Amino acid sequence: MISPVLLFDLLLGLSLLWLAWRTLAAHTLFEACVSFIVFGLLMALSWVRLDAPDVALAEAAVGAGLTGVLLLGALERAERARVEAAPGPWWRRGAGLSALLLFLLLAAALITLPPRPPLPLQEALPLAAAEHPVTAVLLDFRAWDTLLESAVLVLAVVAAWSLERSVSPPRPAPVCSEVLRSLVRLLLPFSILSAGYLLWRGGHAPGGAFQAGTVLAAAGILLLLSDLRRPFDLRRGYWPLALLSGLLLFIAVALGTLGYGGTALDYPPGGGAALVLLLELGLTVTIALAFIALFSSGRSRGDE
Amino acid sequence: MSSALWFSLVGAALVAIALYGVFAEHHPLRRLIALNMMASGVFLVLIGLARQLPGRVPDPVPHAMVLTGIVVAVSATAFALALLRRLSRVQQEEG
Amino acid sequence: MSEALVVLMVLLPLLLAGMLLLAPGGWRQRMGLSATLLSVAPLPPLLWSVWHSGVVEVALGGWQPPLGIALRADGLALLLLTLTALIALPLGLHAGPWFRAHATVGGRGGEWFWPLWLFLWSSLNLLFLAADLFNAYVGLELGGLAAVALVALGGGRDALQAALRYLLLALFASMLYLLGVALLYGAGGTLDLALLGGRLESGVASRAALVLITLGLSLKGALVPFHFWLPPAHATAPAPVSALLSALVVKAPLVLLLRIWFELFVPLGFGAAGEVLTLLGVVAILWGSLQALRQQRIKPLVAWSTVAQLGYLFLVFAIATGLAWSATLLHLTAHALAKAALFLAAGNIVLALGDDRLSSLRGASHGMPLTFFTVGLAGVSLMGLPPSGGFVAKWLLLQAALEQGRWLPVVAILAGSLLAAAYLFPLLRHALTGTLKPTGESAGRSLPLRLELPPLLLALLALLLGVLASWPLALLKPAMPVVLS
Repeated sequence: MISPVLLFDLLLGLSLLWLAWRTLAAHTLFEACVSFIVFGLLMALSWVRLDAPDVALAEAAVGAGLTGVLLLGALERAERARVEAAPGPWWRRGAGLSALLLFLLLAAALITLPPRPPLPLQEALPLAAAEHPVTAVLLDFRAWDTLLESAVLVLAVVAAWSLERSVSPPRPAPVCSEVLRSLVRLLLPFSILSAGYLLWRGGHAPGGAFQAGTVLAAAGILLLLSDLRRPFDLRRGYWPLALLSGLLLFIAVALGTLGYGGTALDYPPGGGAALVLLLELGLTVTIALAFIALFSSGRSRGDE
Repeated sequence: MSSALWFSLVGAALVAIALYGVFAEHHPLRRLIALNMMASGVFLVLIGLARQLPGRVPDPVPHAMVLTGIVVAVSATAFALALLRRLSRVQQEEG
Repeated sequence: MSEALVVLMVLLPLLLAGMLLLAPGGWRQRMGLSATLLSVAPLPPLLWSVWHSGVVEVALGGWQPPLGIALRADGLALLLLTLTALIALPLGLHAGPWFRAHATVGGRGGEWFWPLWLFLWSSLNLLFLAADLFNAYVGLELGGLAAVALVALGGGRDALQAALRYLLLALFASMLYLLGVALLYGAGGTLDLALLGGRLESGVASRAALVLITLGLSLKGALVPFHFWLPPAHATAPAPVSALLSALVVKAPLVLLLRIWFELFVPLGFGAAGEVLTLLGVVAILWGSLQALRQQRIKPLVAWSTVAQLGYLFLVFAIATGLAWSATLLHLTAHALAKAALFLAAGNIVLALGDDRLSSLRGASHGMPLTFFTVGLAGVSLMGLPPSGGFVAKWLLLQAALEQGRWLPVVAILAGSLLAAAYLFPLLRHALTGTLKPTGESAGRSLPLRLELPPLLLALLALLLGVLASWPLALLKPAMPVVLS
């Protein structure tokens, strides 16, 4: 007798595979994008089932939400791009065979995986700068990774800007609908509030800079789309400083701790929680602004 | 079979399907979608591994790796789309 | 003290990239050279420290592995950090004037070059120092994005197309690598390379990880048959970028692969799989050289030569001795210096002639003798003629292959040198014979010394490496993986 929970997991997994296939086999690019967004939502559900609420929050916001918006936003241009010739039947057969071999190899590896020694978390967590284990890993044990990740975000924006020719501020074609405008008016205060809540919560429960930053980014993108505010150019004024704040704060904390105790990112006793909150605040701003910049880049009147 | 192993295997299958997509598709946007799908598969494998430890609490390190991975993936995707838009525009200008 | 220097090697370029981004466009170009000098500053004392007192290890955040992330500055890391700095300094002198001259013929990209290059530099230093496999993944992504953005600075349709293809490939390769790392974490419960070495057992998971990590990193390292993305990307990028890509960017994943291979996989008894890599390396040497021979344009010729020269770096996997390992890293160093010189010189030639066809070189040496002298010197090292660094590296590699009775690599090394002479010769033959025929407006422009000297400096360094080869070899010796020493 299969338990209902396991049955649900089985069905969820099979739907993921089916949607993945649908996405690849879609006739039009639009269909592929929409299938992929639905796929992302099911992924978020799977994270919940796997006791990974932090990842579920991030996936729902970033994976499905933002990636979907970005894909749909690039659709019109992408359809007009000239592409290489389609690969021949032998190439496809080869691809199918390698995919099958890869699956068999991975499946065998996962099934025969020996039990691994656990991490010394029990001893370390009480000493960490955050209570919630995932936040402790991201901003204390492996904070160095997160520093570099903020560099990747900033770099992606810089890379996108380096492609631009136009100097006029980006101005995505507004979706001129009264419904959207009133929706944005309604949602904006709410999303700022929930971002703040997510950020504060991250110290002891699922949530944190990633989730808060994405919620803010979503609000910003809606704002741009609804044309409520005149377009603003993140390349000018104090915006670049704000965009870089997460990265620069992180580097400053790394250099500060290096000077203070001799080890980079080793927080001084008693100061860990405050520094982590500061870093998270900076990260939230960087994540939000980076996603807004990546969404609006290349959409100036002169570029489209 | 535990549900953690099941989701890991689904992740492996997603990687395989996406690998086929990367090779067999020729439109850059479709390849990009396939790559994002491949990333999702890798993340599923990782989170499945996080649950395969004795005890109730999942291992937080793979969770942190996946969170970092998601942000890196979306940054790269956004840049790839900007590149694709720019390419399409240059192609149009050059006729 | 030296721990701080290790961290600064990664953080300084990152911080300076951020500061340049806050400066207005014109200032970025003016401050680029100072940023380069500042980024190099922690290196000499660190080199001193490692040379005299051995490996420097840093546990970031004060958390030791398996929980925390470590950086490990050993002789291998120091050799590559020094190599990167030795290329960065002449490049810093060259890039400014090059982009300015490029702008006068309608090119662009100068204001973005510096921040992107500093991001790339930080990622390279990180990859050389990383002792943590996931940290290396983030480094690979950071470097990949920066490298692609630098290629796209070329701006034209071909450059953008090459950049997009390069990006998709880099993402695919990183995913394979990350999947391999996930399996290793699942099997060993840590991401630290040294700790994993003691914990892994031979099994399906570690075998699958070997396949995935090797595939991912050799895709990024452009081993034949995964080289298809390299020639278009390296040939269409702006000249200073081409130099960085061929000299350093393709090498970083290879160094990571060498570390993982000899510290994890060979001790597990998977060394026999190295035969495949060596065979592909032999194919790369021959195929890359033959393709270079067929090229009618300057930069694609130099790019195909990179495909061939990368092949030598894969011969070590089957030879698998300490001598072969040292020779491989010496070859990597010699090739990086010579190829950076050659790409910068090629960029100068294209800039001066306004044309990159080999046939347009006729008589061009009269206008820019220094640049063609550089081409000749770099050629000496690429062909492996004495007294260059390329010669010593190939000689040691040949010796290692002979000791092991590996005849296929021996034939490939000898044939590769002859073919290199054959494909490099047209560059000089056309230039030294005949008189310049004016083809365009910019034809025959004379070059300022600030453009001609940096590549010459790099070529001289490649030559000097042959004389001073004992230094890098002494630096490498203590860093040699245990299975090889």
